[in-house]
Amino acid sequence: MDVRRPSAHAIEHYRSALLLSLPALVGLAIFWYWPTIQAVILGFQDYNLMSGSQAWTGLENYRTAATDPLLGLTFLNTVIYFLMEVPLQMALALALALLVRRGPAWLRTVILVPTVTSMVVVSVIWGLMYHPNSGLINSLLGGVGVPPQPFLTSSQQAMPSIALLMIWKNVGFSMLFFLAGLVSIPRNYYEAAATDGANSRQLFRYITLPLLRGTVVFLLITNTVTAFKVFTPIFLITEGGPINATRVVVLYIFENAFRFNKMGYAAAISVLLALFLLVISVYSLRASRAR
Amino acid sequence: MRSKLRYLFVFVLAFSFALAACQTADEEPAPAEEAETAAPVEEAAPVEEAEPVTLRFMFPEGAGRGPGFESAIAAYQEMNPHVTIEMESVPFREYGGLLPVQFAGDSPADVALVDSSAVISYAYNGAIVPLDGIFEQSDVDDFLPSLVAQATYEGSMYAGPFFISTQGVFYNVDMFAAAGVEPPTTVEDAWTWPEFVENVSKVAESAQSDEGDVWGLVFLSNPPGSISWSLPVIRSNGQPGSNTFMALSPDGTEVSGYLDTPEAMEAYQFWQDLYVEHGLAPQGDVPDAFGNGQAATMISFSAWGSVLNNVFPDLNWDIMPIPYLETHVVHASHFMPTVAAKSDNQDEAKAFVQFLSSIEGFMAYYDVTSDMPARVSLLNELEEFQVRPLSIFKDELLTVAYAAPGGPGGAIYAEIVGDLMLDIAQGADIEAAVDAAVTELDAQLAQFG
Repeated sequence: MDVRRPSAHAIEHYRSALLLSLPALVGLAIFWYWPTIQAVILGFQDYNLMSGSQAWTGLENYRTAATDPLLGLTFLNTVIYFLMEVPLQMALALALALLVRRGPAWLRTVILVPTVTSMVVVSVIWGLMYHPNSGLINSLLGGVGVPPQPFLTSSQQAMPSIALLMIWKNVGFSMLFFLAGLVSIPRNYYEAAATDGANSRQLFRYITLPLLRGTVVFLLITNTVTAFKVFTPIFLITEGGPINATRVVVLYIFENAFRFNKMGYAAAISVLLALFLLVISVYSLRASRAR
Repeated sequence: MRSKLRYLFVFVLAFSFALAACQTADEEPAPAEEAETAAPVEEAAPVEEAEPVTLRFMFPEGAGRGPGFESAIAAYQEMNPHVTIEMESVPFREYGGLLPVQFAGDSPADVALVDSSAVISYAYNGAIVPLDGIFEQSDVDDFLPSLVAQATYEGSMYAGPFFISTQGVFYNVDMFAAAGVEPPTTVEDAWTWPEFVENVSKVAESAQSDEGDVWGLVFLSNPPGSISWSLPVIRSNGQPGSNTFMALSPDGTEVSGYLDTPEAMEAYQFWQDLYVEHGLAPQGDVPDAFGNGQAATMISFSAWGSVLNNVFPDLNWDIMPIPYLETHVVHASHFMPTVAAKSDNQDEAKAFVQFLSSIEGFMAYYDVTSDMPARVSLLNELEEFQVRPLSIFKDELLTVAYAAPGGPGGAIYAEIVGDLMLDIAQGADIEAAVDAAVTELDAQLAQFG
C-alpha cells in the first residue's frame, strides 16, 4: 500500500490553519458545545435553579413531556406561527427581490432596514401600533371606515398579528438571498428561452424557480429554525396570551426554566425541539438533493 | 473510521455524565437547616477586632430608593467601620428574572431585596437563610402582620420587614369638582366598585373635550399584570375566611374551589366589564395617562404621590381608598431584605438586615425618601401619615390590608393568576380562561404538596 507522508510544507500549513482557527474553536467549545452537552445532561435531571440542587431522574422529564398537554399546545401554536410566517415571508421576499432587482438601490436599503433594527425596539413599537384603543393601525383602519380591531388582545388575532410583525422584520433578509440567487442565474438562459417563444410566466416557472431551488431550500431551513425559535416579540408583547393563544415552545421553555423553577424539564424540551429541527433540516436537505 | 468515531462519541458522553455527577456532589448547597446553625449575630467578634468585610446588597431600582439606601448604608457603616456595603441596583423590570439566576450562581449578593410574595418560595427552595434570633418579639409585634406572614416559613422569619406599600385611588381634583362628584375621604366611607363605576363614569364623561377621550380609570400599567392590583377585586367579592377571599388553599397547593367559586366568577365578570362593557379603563397601556389629564383616576401604590409631584407639579390630585365589592381588602406588600444561603458573610449580612429593619435603619432611609415604614409604631408616629392624603394609606394598612396569596408556589401563582386577570381584562372568554388557569395552577402547585 502506498502510504504517503505529508510534506513538511503541508504539516506547517495545517498547523497554521489550526492555530488561526483555535480562538474560534475555543469560543465554540465554551459557548456552544459545552452548554449543549450540559443541556442534554440537565434533561436527565431534576435541577432546582434557586438552590442549585441536582438529582438524576433518568427519562422522567421526557415522560412528562410526552403527556404534558401544555407542551402539545405550545408546539401546535409554534406550528401555526410557522405556517403563517414562513411561506408568506418567502413568497413576499421573492416578489420583492424580483421587483427591486433592477430598481434603485435605496429601495433595497428601505426593505432591509427592519432586518437590521433591534428586535426589542421593533417589538415595542409594533406593540404600540397594535394598541386596541389608541394604536396607529386602528387609527388608519378608522380612516377607511373599518371598526377598531383588538389585535393582540384577541385569541384569534394575536398570532396573525405577531406573524405579520415578523414577516415585516424578516422579509428583507430573505429578499437579500433571493437577490443573490437571481443574479447568479446566467442571462443567456433567459435569452435562449425567449428566442424559443417563452413568455415571462414560463421564464419564471421553468428557469427562475428551478435555478433558485438551492436558495429556497437554504431559506426554508433557516426560516423554519428561526420560526420555531420565536421568542422575543411574544415575550415582550403578549407573554403567551391571551389564553395561551401565542404561547410558543421557546416561551414555555423559558417559563419552565426561570418561572416554574424546572430547569431539567426545560432542558428536556430544548433537546426535543433541537432534535425536531434537526430532523426537519436533514429531511429538507435530502428532499432537495433527491430532486 | 466510523467505529473510532462511535467510541469517541461514547467516551465524550460518558465523560460528560461522570463530570456532571461529580458536580452534583460538589455543588449541593447546604440545606436551610444547616445554615440555621450559623453563629448567632450577637456572638460576632467585637467591632474593633473584626476583620474587614465587604457585603454586596442588591435591590430593584425605584423612586428615591438609591439615595435612601445610600443614606441607610452610610449610617450602618459609621457604626460598623469594618463593614463595606456595595450597592447593586437593578432595573425594576429585570429584577424578577435576575434574582433566581443570582441565587443559582456561586456568588449571589449577600443581601438582596425579595418581593414579599416570593420570600416563602425562596425559603422553600433553600436560596435564603432563616433570620432566627435577630428580631426581638417586640419587633415582630411591631411589624405589620401582613409582612410577617409573608416572611415566615415553617416558624422562622426569612426576611426583615423594612418598608411597605399598599394601593389607593389617585384622583384628579379639578375633574371631580367640575363634575360635581364628591369622593370618599375615609376608609370607612370607601365606595363599592359599582359606586365607583357610576361616579367615575360621570367624571370621565364630563371631562371629555375636543382634545380627546378621558379614561375613568388607569392602573400603573394597563391592564395590570400583577395580582397586587387586580386580585383584591376578586377576593373582595367573598366574605373574610371564605374560599373566594383566600383565593388559594391554606397549604398553598390548590386553587380549584378557590379561584373558580361562583363569587369569584361574578367578580371576574365585573373586572372584564370595567374594560369591555363600561369601557372605563383602556385595554392597552397609556403611559402617564393620569399625569397628562387623560384619566380621571389612577390606582397606584403609596409612594406614587412623590412621583406625581416631581413629574407633574401642576396636577391637582388627591387620594381616596380602594373600592371593593363585598369585603374591603387591599394588598400590602413590598420588597424585604434577605440573606443568601450561599453568602460567605452570613453573620454580617444578618446584622445588616437587622439594622435595616430597625427604627434607626428605616429612619436613615426615610430621611431621603417617602416610602412607608413596615412598623406600626412608625406609621402612627410619622407626621406625614397622620394627615391626608397619606393617612388614607395608613388607615388601609391598619384596617383592611392583607397579604397576597403565596406559599412555596407564590411566584408561580402570581405569574399565572396575573396572566389570567390580564386575559380577562382584554376580553377573553371568562370560563375558558379561568378553567385553563386553574388546571395549570393545580398541576404546578401539586409539586409543593
